Amino acid sequence: MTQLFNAVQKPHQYTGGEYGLPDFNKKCDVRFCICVPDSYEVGMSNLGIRILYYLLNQQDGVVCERCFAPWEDYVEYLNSRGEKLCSLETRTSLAQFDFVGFSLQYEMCYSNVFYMLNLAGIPLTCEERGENFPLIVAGGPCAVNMEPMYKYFDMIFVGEGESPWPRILEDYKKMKGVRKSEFLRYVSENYSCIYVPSLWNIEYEGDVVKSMPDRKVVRNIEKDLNTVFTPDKQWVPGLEIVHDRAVLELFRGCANGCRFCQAGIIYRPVRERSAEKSFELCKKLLEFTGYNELSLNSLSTGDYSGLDCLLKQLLPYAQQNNVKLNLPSLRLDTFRGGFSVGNRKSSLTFAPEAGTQRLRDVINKNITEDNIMSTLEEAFRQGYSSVKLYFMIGLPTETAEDIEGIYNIARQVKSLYSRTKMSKKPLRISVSCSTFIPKPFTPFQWEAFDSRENVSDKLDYLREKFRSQGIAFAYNDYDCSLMEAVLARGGRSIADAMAEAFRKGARFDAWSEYFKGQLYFDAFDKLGIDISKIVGAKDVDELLPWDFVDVGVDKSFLVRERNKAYLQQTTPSCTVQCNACGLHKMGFCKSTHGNAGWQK
Amino acid sequence: MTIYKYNKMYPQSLSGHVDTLRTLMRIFRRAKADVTYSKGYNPHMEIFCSPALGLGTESLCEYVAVKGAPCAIDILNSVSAPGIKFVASFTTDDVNIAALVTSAVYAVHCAGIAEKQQMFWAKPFNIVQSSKEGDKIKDVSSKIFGVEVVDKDDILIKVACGNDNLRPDKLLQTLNSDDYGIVKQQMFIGELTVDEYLSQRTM
Repeated sequence: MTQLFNAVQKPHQYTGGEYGLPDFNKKCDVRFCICVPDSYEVGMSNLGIRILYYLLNQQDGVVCERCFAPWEDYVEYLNSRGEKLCSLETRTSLAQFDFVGFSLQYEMCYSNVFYMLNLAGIPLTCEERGENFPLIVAGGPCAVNMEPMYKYFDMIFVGEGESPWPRILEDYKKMKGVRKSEFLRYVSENYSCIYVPSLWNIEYEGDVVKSMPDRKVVRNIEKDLNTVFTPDKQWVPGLEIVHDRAVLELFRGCANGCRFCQAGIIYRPVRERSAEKSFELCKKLLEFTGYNELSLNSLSTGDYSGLDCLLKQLLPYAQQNNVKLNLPSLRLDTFRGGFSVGNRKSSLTFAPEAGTQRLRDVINKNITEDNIMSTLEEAFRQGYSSVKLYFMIGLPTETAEDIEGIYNIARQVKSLYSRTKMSKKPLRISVSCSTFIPKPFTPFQWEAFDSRENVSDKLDYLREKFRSQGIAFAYNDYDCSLMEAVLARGGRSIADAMAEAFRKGARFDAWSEYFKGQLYFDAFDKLGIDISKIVGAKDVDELLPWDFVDVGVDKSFLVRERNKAYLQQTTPSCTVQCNACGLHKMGFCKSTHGNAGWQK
Repeated sequence: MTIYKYNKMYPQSLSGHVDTLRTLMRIFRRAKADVTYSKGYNPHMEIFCSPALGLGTESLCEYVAVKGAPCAIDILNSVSAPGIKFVASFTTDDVNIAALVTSAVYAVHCAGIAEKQQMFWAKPFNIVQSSKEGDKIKDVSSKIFGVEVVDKDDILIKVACGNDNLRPDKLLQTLNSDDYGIVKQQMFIGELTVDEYLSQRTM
């Protein structure tokens, strides 16, 4: 029989045995398997998974293991041995666990949920599974609209899991042996952050929601990042993963209020970890892992109020210990050269998002052309010679002038470099355009996804312009963005089509080389689903599939922001003033920042 | 310079050479070993490994040379990755083991290998070497130095190692076998084992 190392690429991804794993020989009453419906290299880089993994494994009587979506070669290997998909740690078949929890980080991973369940020999729907299989659970950012997958998950966890999960598992321990339906009813009644689709009667007429219960599923929000469970350990894989470095989360939420950004709404409010605590954790993580690179993560790291204080301690420590610092997600207006002192001047990535000030005001991207140029000027003076610029097309109110604006910014950056460059290297500039997807829980949730013809015309125009200037230009596949829009905005009506597309071969849809849009389009045709209604414009009074989920932000705030967008009015950052999004009513915003002087 | 001898067993045997190098660097960092770094914008550890093993091949005799002060084996093992165990250390002058080794002995477990091993003595003994440029057929008969049969499914084989390396897994694949286990037992510099050679150079 063929050995694993002769059968698959990167066999270590299927063996487990990474450095830094907890003890799996302890006595356990509850077995939980965290599944990531993406490859090992992607899944192992996820911070949320790591937190939950160490959280559950420190709990008495609970063992939490991992499983990732395997590549085709490993599936052939499993089939040749007649084996099912199993966990990495103890090689237990997924069907043997009490809970199989999927972390859904993006919509395009849904087909891999089916793929993994199928490889584990677990029926796809709750109905088919009955009492005989584990509870299949979903969590992660996509949980805010899980309606397209409502019949495949027994329960869906909405929000941050640190406080509720240990309690849920304690309850499960006490109730072990009861019928699944009884446990599901119990958690549905006792945990407002848990959605049990089978217990919610939501009526549709075609693709349109007609009625839903009055009660809400309420996103769980952890109040204090200084006291919330944070692992000071981190697994260290034996092969290179996407983010192969120590990672510390500086804060949750984002104060900027960009109107296109779902994360900016569903992770609100800003909750900072103190600089002292952050530094202490950075040291512990680096010492535990042996990594020589550290990433300070958040949705907008430059906005961290304790950044100067943290870097004052961290930069000398990093220099002394040969650690490279990585500050991702810097906004153009928060880039400061000091961050990069002593570090190699590699590539800078900024996201102006829109080509003109008018459109940037519409989307509330509070940066000006001056911000863009002065920041890049500083970067070029420091020796940077490579810039990536990210834009979106298909934004609400977009005109030809806004598309021209994308080209103009890139051209100005080029000319700025030739005026100010410190490096002898030629400028490497690339522009990347993605198609805007109006996501749930954003002020643009009622907007339409742009048509294929429009997007194609805009891309053709830009491609030609950039080609003549020697500027690298990349863009997303339209079908892939369209499918993401359908899955993000869809309701229960598309659930059957999802499984149909999987049966016809859909998997690894987030990987462009695997994505086959036609499988979905055929499934929608077969089941009579008109996706143009799902991605089309919606009336503000219309009932939306996700309206029963309360993420903490009021719908009236989203409407207000939408109206302001059409008036090209901006809303300041929450650090400047309270914009009354709804979370202030919970008393969060002013008390949950960790560093003194946060509100200036 | 300190040269550490270590075992590289499952699951680390399923990591490639570069990944193993990274793993070793992280072990030294976790152990707070005093290791010299290169200068410049992108400083890296001054660390040198013995020749690359084939994926899946285990070893009882890997070596890693590190510039800097010696670190106790126990400390390294307390923070080591599963599959890597340090077994000895030698403090020497600068030695480039990868360039010096000439041969290695491997224990091979494979069904019916005692019978098949006679094929290794064929001249020429051609294997297919794949690279980005395509497949090349190469006669490696001069790189096979000796075979000792242990039982019907187990042999010890001595082949060229180092600059003129021959990977035993390639030999087995030529015999159309992909179900086997290989453990590197010993590396040699001329007639001396690497351990003997390093003991002579210990400062």
